Amino acid sequence: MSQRSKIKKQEIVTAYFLLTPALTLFLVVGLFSIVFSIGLSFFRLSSGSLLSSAIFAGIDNFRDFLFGRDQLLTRNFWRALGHNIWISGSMICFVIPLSLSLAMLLQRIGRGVAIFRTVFLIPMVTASVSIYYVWTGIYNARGSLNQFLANIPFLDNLIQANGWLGELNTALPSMIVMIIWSAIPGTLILYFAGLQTIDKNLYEAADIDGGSDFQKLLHITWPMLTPITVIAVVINLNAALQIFEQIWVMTKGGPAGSTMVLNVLIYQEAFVTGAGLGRANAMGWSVFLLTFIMSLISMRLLRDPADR
Amino acid sequence: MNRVKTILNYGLLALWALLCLYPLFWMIGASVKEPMDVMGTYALFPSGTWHWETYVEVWKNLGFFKYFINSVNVSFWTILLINIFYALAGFAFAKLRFPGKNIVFFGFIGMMFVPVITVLVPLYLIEYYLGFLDTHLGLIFPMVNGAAPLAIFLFRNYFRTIPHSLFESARIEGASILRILGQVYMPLALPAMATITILNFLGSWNSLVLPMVILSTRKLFTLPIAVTLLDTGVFRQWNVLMAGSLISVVPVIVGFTALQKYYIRGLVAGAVKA
Amino acid sequence: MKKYLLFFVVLMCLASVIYAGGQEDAAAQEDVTLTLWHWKVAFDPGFKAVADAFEEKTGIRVVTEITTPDEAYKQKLVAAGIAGNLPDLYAYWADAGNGSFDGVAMEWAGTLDADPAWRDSFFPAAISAVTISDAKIESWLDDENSSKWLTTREAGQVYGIPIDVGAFYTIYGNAELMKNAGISTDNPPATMEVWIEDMKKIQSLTETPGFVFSGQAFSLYENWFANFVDYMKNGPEEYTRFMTRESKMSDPEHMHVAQFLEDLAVSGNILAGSATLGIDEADQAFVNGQASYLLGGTFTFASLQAMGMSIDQIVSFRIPAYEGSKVPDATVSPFPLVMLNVNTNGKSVDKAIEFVKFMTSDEGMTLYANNAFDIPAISIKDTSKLNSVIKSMLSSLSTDSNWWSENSAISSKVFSNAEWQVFHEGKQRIVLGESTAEEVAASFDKAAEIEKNK
Repeated sequence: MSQRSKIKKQEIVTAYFLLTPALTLFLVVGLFSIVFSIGLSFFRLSSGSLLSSAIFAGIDNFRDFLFGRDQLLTRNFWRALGHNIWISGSMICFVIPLSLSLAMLLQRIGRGVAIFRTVFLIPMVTASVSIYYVWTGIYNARGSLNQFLANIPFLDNLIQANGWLGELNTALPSMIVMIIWSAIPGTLILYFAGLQTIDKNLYEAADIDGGSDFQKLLHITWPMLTPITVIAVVINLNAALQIFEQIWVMTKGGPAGSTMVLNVLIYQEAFVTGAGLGRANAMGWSVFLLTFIMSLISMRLLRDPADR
Repeated sequence: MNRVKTILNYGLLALWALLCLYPLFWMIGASVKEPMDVMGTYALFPSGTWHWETYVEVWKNLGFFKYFINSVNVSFWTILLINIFYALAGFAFAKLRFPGKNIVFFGFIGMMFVPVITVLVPLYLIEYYLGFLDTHLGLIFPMVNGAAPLAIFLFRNYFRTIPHSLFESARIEGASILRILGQVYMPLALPAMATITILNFLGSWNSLVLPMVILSTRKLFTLPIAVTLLDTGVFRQWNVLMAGSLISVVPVIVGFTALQKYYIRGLVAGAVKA
Repeated sequence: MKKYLLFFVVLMCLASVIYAGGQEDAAAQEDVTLTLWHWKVAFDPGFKAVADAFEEKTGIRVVTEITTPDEAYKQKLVAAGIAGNLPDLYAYWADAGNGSFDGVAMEWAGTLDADPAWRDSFFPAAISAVTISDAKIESWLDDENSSKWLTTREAGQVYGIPIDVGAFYTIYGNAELMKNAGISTDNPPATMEVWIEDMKKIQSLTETPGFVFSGQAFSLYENWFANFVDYMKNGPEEYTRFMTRESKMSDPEHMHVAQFLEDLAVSGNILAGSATLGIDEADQAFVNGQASYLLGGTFTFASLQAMGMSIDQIVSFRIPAYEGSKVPDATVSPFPLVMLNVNTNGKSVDKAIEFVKFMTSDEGMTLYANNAFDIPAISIKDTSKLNSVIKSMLSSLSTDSNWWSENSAISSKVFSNAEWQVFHEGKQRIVLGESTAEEVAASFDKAAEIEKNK
């Protein structure tokens, strides 16, 4: 065996050795759940029944919500999907620029970085049912937001009599604001760490060339942060398409379905009406497919220079 | 001009800080209100007496240390395993060439999108067969596995920013791959580890649904579950729940404040070396 | 290769350490301890008091384990059911055949018949609600998701024993607001029309809206109010036709379901934000005097008291019937809310049965009711040890079985039939003034038509 192929072989062995812990864990707790859950989506099974009662249903479960075999569910599914897409769009359009700006601002100041960083993590630290209730209180008809608006001239006609989560037009946007608020810390941490990896010499060179701040952002910071942006887009996209807890706690998808999202629908199907575990799984995996495809597209659009 | 800029910078940061803090103040205000007022008046702070005794009551009923230890146990092992497992994997994806690399990599990334809600039932089933139900291990394993996509992605990207010449020159000198990883790359990976630790620590600390389904014995409960059990009222005692939640996140806030310095220092050190 | 080995050894060590950490005292318990799962923190003292007395009597320990809120509990049970890991005893939402996991839950009909004294101690309505009826079997047959086991049940089977009762269809009024408007607090309004006039009167005097209810809770208005009103108005036959999609909501007989809300919404008599209020928040708004009447159940009274309202501040009455109703005097007999199921694969089924029997004995139910603040499912003979509030609530309940209590399978169509999901959204739209009653009734009828033809 030549020296070269020996090195190559050693590299392959080492690579799989390094992957062993991750792959083993996946085989133990991940694979079974995934295969089982995908399999279940082709069966008819109500929650509260045993597996022995499952009846093979082919693609009926998918036809139920995709192609109108169950008209009501199909309508709800597509409407919920629309809401999820709204949430994804808003998250990407707001979370990413806001996080990046905050990270850059943090990098510029000298004193107080530590304090600001801790404070900026609060939305993530307090992520629990209690904080969702706080937002319900802020948005309530008699809550802080309406009270605040009442004190400001010209803005008092913005007051929502039924509360911000209570009107058909404002419920989803209000939810989105809350979702953005809680998603910023995670993305901010990524950008903050990413900014540190950029070579300071690049900026100094740009200074000598007389580049403006904006030019530096456009030609140095943004391209250097592309790998981070890819992750951030994928994370936020996934968070938006899998959004559940906030909406379940705060609005249950209401009023009149105006904040209904896919996971709330799936959850209701699986555990509230108890209609069908099989169908809930089918919906879940359809969302999976959609998220995966959208992520691959965004990864392709924002391709890491190192991959090219 | 520079001065104006600095003030503007601080001003913008302070504005966002206020938006982050407002709900926290709301929580504190609610926790010292009468249970009735929390759902009734919606003002930031109570109009009458501040009921700090709620905290005394909650502290007495919570059994903080018992559940704190459980939470620490779960979060600690989760974080440790995430960092070890996925630093290794991330390195393999970043620096080594091997067949099946892309498939395995995108397989892991795809795991991020697995529908969590519906997968919980089969997860329970497999943990039952393996005997992990009602153990902390039964929480740690799925949490670590769930962190795989993001952690692998971040480690891989981070290792890639370290110039490849480092790797090649060490190889030419005859160092084994594992030694290069251990002596050159791992120390440089500290900033990535810090980021991954923060992101996953908060997730595992606040996790509620998974522990609720997996754990049954009270002794093993984590803090968030213990907090939900505080509310024994006929109607929901939001003041108690808010006080409980605040108590359960205080260690996190204190911990972060204390570790900030090292974290930032680590980031800067990493940047210089790279 | 050595390094690789060492590495693995270290990993294994790590794993075993955590494993040991989690397993701490698995070997500690040897004798039979029964496990009971439930989902209500407020009921836990009740279960515990019964368990303690039971242990003293028999030496058998029963440990309670709570998972809360409701949905998390249901999720856990579904998972445990599939894995075959259900506890010896588990509480479930009381309904015939509910939570029976295809025969994992024990069937009680024989046991009940063998002990007639025990069977007859229950309120008749409590037992009939958990007994499988022909209508129930029919509704399972209609649902393509029902398991074969469910569709082959026989009428008369019982899969869970009720431990408490309650009733909806109760209106609570703010006595002070009523008095100020000159409305009698001694006599309940004679008809629905009178009651609506009362609301409008208070509203015109004080600008306090008349009505508050949780519009967010799925099927609360439908199942706590509308179906009972429809039953009173039209009688059992026409009511059944409505529930089974033979009649339409837009028919004049049934239009009231949507019209009631529209009338109130248009006249400003529904508290703003009701469409998104939860049950607790609706109660709270009523206690704060934001609305003059509240829709609730027997259990609401305890909440109102805990929230600081005293007995003389509250007026309560059964939902009034419309003028010309067919069954205006329909009595509300209490129905079970929570039942206890026994796992036939449990460690000791006999002991679990013994526990259920003890819990539903005079002694057990008294302990439970006093500590859980919940109304017992049996008529307790010696009420001297019973908490006075519970005693008074108990005395106000009719114990007879009647058409309404025997046909819960028909009323529960508001949960299972999809057109009611359409109405849930429509209801919120009416409350918000976004839709008219006619539009909502039409969309309901359309959905019912589609479902019927499926």
